[in-house]
This record gives sequence, C-alpha cells and structure tokens, in this order.
Amino acid sequence: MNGKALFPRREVSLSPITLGRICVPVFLLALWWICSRIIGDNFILASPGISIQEFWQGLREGWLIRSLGSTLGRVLGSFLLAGLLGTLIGVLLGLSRFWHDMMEPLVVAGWAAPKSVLYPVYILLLGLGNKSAIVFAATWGVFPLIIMLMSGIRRIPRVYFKLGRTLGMRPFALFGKVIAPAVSLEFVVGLRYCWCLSFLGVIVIEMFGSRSGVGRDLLAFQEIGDMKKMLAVVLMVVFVTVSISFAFYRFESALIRKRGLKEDLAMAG
Amino acid sequence: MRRSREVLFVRLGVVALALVLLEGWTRTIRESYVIIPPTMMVQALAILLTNERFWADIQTTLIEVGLSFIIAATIGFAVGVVLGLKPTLYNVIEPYLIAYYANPIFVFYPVFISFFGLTMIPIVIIAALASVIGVIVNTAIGIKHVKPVYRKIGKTLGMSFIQILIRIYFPSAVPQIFTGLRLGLVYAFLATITSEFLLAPRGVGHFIKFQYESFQAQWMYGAILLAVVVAISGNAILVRIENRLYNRRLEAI
Repeated sequence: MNGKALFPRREVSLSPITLGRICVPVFLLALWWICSRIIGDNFILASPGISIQEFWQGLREGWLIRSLGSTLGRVLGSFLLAGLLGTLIGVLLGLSRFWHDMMEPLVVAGWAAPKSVLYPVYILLLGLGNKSAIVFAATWGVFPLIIMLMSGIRRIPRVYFKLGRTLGMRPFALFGKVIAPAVSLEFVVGLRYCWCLSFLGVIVIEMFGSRSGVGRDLLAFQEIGDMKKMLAVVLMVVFVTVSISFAFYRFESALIRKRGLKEDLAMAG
Repeated sequence: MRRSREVLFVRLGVVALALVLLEGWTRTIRESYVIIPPTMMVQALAILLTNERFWADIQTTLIEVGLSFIIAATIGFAVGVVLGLKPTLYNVIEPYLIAYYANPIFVFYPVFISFFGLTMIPIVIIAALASVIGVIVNTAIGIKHVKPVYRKIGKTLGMSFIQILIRIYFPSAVPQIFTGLRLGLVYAFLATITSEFLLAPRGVGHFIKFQYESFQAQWMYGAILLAVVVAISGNAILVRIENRLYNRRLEAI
C-alpha cells in the first residue's frame, strides 16, 4: 500500500535477537539430551542422537516419507476445503453488519465446541476413509479463518468504502483494490490457523482409526514400545510444522512492515 | 438496543429453525443409528445424568481439566509476565510461540503414555501444554502494552518494582490476562476431551468412544450433547465477562 517492497533486501547480520533465536532450539536439544542422560535408558527416553539416527534411517527406508505423505495429503485436502469455505463465509459475513452481528456468536460457539467427539458422526454420515477425514479436519480449520476475515473486514475504516463509491468502483473492483489489500494480514494469519488446526484434526483422525499416516504410526509404535521410532516421527512432524510456521511468520512480518503496523502476531485467537 | 434485540431474535430463530429441521429429518430417515433426533439426545442425556458411572467419568474429566488449567495458568502467567517485562526476550521467542501453535500437540500424547502409562498424567500434561500458550501470549501482550507513562508515574511516586507490578501492570493488563485465561480454559477442556476420546481408561471422551464402538448411538449423542453444551456455554459466559472488563477499561480512559 505505501509502495515498499514486500521482502526488502536486508543485510544479514547476527543481531542479539537472531543469536537468541538460534539458541532456543539448541537449548531445547540440550535439555532433551540431559533428560535422556539422567534416565539413562533409550527404551524409556531415546537421546536426541539416537532419535536423529532413527529419523535418517526412516527417510532412507522410506516408511517415514510414506507416513508423512499420507498425512500431508489429507491435511492439504482439508486445508483447501477449509480455506475456500472459510474465505467465502468470512467475506460474506464481514460485508454485512447485520449478518456479522447475527452469526458471530454462532461462529465462536463452533470454534469452542469439542469437534473431536463428533468424528463418529462424520464416519456414520460419510463412511470410514479419506472423505470423512478431510471434511472433519476442515471443520477444525474453517472457524478461525471465518473469525479473522469477518472481524478484519468489519475493522476496515468505512471511509474506504465511501471513497470507492465516490470513485464509481464496481463491487469486484472495490473488493480487489480496497477490501482484499486491507484484510491481507488477517487473511494470512487466518490461513496459518487454518493450516495448523487442519493438521491437528488430521492427526486426531489418524490416531482414532486409520490405515496410514503419522498419527496411526505413533500409536502403533507406542503399542510396541518403540520409543526411538516414536521420537523420530515426532522430530519429523516438529520439523515440518515449524518450517511452515516460520514461512507464514516471515510473510506476516513482511505484510506488517509494508502496512507500517505494530501487530503482535503471536496473539492467540 | 433495539437493533441488538432484533439480532438476538433472528439468531434464536435461525437456531430454532435448524433444530426443527434436524428433528424432522432424523425422524424420517430409516437409519436412525446414524443421527438421532435432538429430543432423543436430550432424553438420553437426562437419563445419563442419573447414572453414577457416568458421573464418575464427568468427575475424571473435571479433575483433568482443573489440574491442567491450574498448572497452565500458573506457569503461563509467570512466563508471560517475564516476557512482557522484557520486550527483547519476547522478540526472540515470538517465532517459536507461533511455531508452538503450529505443532499438533497430540503427537506427544503416545510419548507421554509410554512414559507415564495409561493414567490421568499424560492427559493432564497434554491439556496443560495445549492451554499454556494462550496464557503466556496474552499475559505477555497485556503487560507489554501497559503505557510507559503509567510506569513513569509509579517511579515518580517512589513505588518499588513489586508495587508497580501489582498496582499498575496487573490492573492495567487484567482484560488481556483474562482473555488468556479464558483461552487456556477452553483449550484445556478441548485437549482433555480429545485425549480421553483417543486413548484413556475413563472420562467423558472415553465414554463417547466406548458408546460409539458399542453401537449405542443414543448414549453417545447424549454425552456429545453434554460436552458441546458445556464448552459453548462456558465460553459464552467467559466472553461476556471479558467484554465487560474491556468496556470498563475503555470507560476508565
């Protein structure tokens, strides 16, 4: 909006904040290593070294990739479904004050409801398989996106709409040139929550009952007491989710800089 | 005022219409085990609430939610205050707070079961881990956003650090801290029910799964109705209190 590049070229330097951010995973790994040394038995708590070895072994043998592939396939499906539905509903509710005020408590109620216990209902209605899994996980991700978009559009200063009408802008032009840029940050944050909750929903489904995927493998390894493989799977999930989260964070920070705001991205919602 | 009443009536009307349509549809379909009429769900719940074993499951769930929330609120509040008072430390940790949200916390559940066995402990830990992040982030943001002029007033009046914390920071940050506690409680409840549902010896979530696997649709739906109503109404009540706290702060300004 103010002509600044989204990702400006910056000098790479080790500021105290960057150094601090590098130290956090190192600290967590050290803490894990200390705990495993104290316990002293890799059967009870495998050390980071052994877990990372098992992780590479799993990648070479392919079972880790197959497991992650199954899970990511479902997550992608539910994320796309939740993203499309959430965007459509969020925008429609945000554009109408009456429908926003009417539906907001219902949307918040939908977010607060324990959706995991409704999975049997989805199975009974849609059958066991990817269809019920994707629809179920999408219901986890759709609500935060609707809430973010709804409230973001309501917060757009009304003078922007008046300006659009004064300039004779058609609805699509008003949406593309005024509304969409104004809620771009809320949209990206909502997508982030949508992705995270869809992922969580898929893991829950796979733990409940599935023939493949990360959740199913974790419970299977727990049943046979294979702590090394369990931690290898956990490492892989943490690596994937943290990487995606950092990508979202970078994009959101860039949008904030472009708008000249001081938002707290970690604000819980 | 008139408009808000109009909105409320329309909302109640929409919900009532949805329930009537669901009641009508479920009474006409042949496969009544798929979804039962809402009136039967209410009847089933009323019968369940007279059952001692179901109350034992409710008690287990309440203990798990209570314990996990108390742990999360205590640790979350302490960590949140430290992060709020040290903005540099907050900036260092911020991407990891966001990454924490991204992590599907239930991947750790089998690890904790292997460690502690199939008891309440893994559920309390998972629910506390799910709940603590909301408390940390909102407490930190509430403390961070206390206006610097308020701190300066405290120093001018010769207040000690503890006095500034208790008499200036905390009252000013109460609405945001309350938001964090509300989110913490909601996440603790959701994580507890989900953990019990996945794998647990007892609890409301376990009851629902057991009834599903036993093809006892009416008891399953009765318990689902209880979990959903408790979560939604609890959150609604806390949101009303939270709105009053925010409005009171706006009036004070």
